[in-house]
Amino acid sequence: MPPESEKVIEVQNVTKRFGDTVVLDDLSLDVRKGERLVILGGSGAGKSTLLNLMAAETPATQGRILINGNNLCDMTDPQIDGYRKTMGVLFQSGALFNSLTIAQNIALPMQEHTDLDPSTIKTVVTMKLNLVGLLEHGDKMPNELSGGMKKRAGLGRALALDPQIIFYDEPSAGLDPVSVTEIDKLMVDLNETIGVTTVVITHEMTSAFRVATRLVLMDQGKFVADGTPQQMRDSDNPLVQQFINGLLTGPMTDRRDPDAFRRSLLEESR
Amino acid sequence: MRQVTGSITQLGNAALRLVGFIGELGMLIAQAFAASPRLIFRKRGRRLAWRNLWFQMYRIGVKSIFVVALVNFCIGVILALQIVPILDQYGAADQIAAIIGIAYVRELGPLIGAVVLTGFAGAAIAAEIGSMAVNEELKAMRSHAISPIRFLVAPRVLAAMVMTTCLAVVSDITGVVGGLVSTKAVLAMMSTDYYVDLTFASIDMLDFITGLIKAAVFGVLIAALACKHGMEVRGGATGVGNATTRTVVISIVTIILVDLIFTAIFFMLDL
Repeated sequence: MPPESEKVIEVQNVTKRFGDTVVLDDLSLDVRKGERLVILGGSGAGKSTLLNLMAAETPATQGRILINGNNLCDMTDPQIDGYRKTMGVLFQSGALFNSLTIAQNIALPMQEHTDLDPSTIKTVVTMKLNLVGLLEHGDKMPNELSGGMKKRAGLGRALALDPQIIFYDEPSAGLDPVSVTEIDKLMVDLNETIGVTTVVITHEMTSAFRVATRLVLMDQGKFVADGTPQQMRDSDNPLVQQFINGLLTGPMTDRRDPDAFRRSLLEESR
Repeated sequence: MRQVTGSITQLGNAALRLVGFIGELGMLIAQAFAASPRLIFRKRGRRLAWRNLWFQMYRIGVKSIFVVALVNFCIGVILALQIVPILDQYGAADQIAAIIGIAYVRELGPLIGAVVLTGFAGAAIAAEIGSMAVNEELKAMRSHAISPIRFLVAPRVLAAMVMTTCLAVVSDITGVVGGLVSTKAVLAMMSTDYYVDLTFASIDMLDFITGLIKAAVFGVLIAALACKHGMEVRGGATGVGNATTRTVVISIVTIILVDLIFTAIFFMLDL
């Protein structure tokens, strides 16, 4: 992705605290139009919190998030809703509405936000089902689907309003390798055919390298690396090398207190 | 001294939490009513909204008719069995129709109907919305710019308000019928016509209307409390279970406290 392409989201010096815990620490990040950005990081690194901030689910404690140049913090509720209509989110669990069929799940955003008549909505739903490979499963309830199918159905719903940007929260979590490959291919195809900007949160390296045009690595609420997949592979940052190669020794494990377990046992026995 | 200070601090914190809770509940109810015109009259999504509203009315009201009727009938029977022998000692056994009539129309009908509904529908609403919160469905709704207040809370609050009012009428009738059955059949006193005449003679329209107003308010409180607890669920299945329990306990306490306030106000206004 050329660096001069338009910035869709600008995260500027953002800090997010929950009580005394700093989850995101003075972060800055640009998401550019049409790119496939993968945000990597271990559990508790702050990836999901960052996604929640960019998806307008939760406000930042400090800093600014600009959406197409407009500060999210200054937006009114209708303006935030307007932004939400231009984005889609694929949740880790799929988050399908369990009381509705798959087709009804996909139709819901259109019924709520467009003046399309029922027959047109039905046609669009069929197109979205076809796009995510669930054409024969529209009448099924979410509990009748496998994990991979639920993710694809969730993606179909995320695509309902033809979003400009899609956030994927751990899309490969809990899926078998074939389903992961299918979801990855779907993400790449959607980006390449529709041009939808793609932001993926994951810690699955195979999937990340398959999807990304750009990768950033988070650790303890900060970005530690930012580059193309090849740049990340070639990085001499020991933290990057430990994370992408899954090494047992390195900065991430070295900072753990080796005596913590012994101390907690001693404290319990007192 | 430190213990006294600690106790005062705890009391103050509890009072603040209570005020905060009442404020949040009030805000939720206000938002639900503010969203209601859009829910009912808005062209977009109207079919879905109406379907949702009818379904909630069916679930909250229609499905609980039998249980509400059965409970009230039994309480009507019990009341008559307990009170008639005492009234009989004073030669005033025929006053049972007036006592049960007034008690049911003004107090017991709306109150018992609401308490039964708390266990029947309040718990179900809290569990349903709690599961949706755990399953990230509420988050998904917000991400699609669909307000959970308009889509989930408003239909449930409106449906509960309408259906508790209807159920109060069912409660009134079945309670009075219960009193009639035990008075007539078990205690072998009075004719049906005489009992019914005495009941209608003792209650007026104002009694009936105040009862319905109470019922409507109880319905709003039950649904709003259930939705609030459901939407606040954290921590999976345990969280859903806790929310359900809290909904039932807090709803019953709230309903009785609000009933007390209503009764005191009506008493002072001589209604």
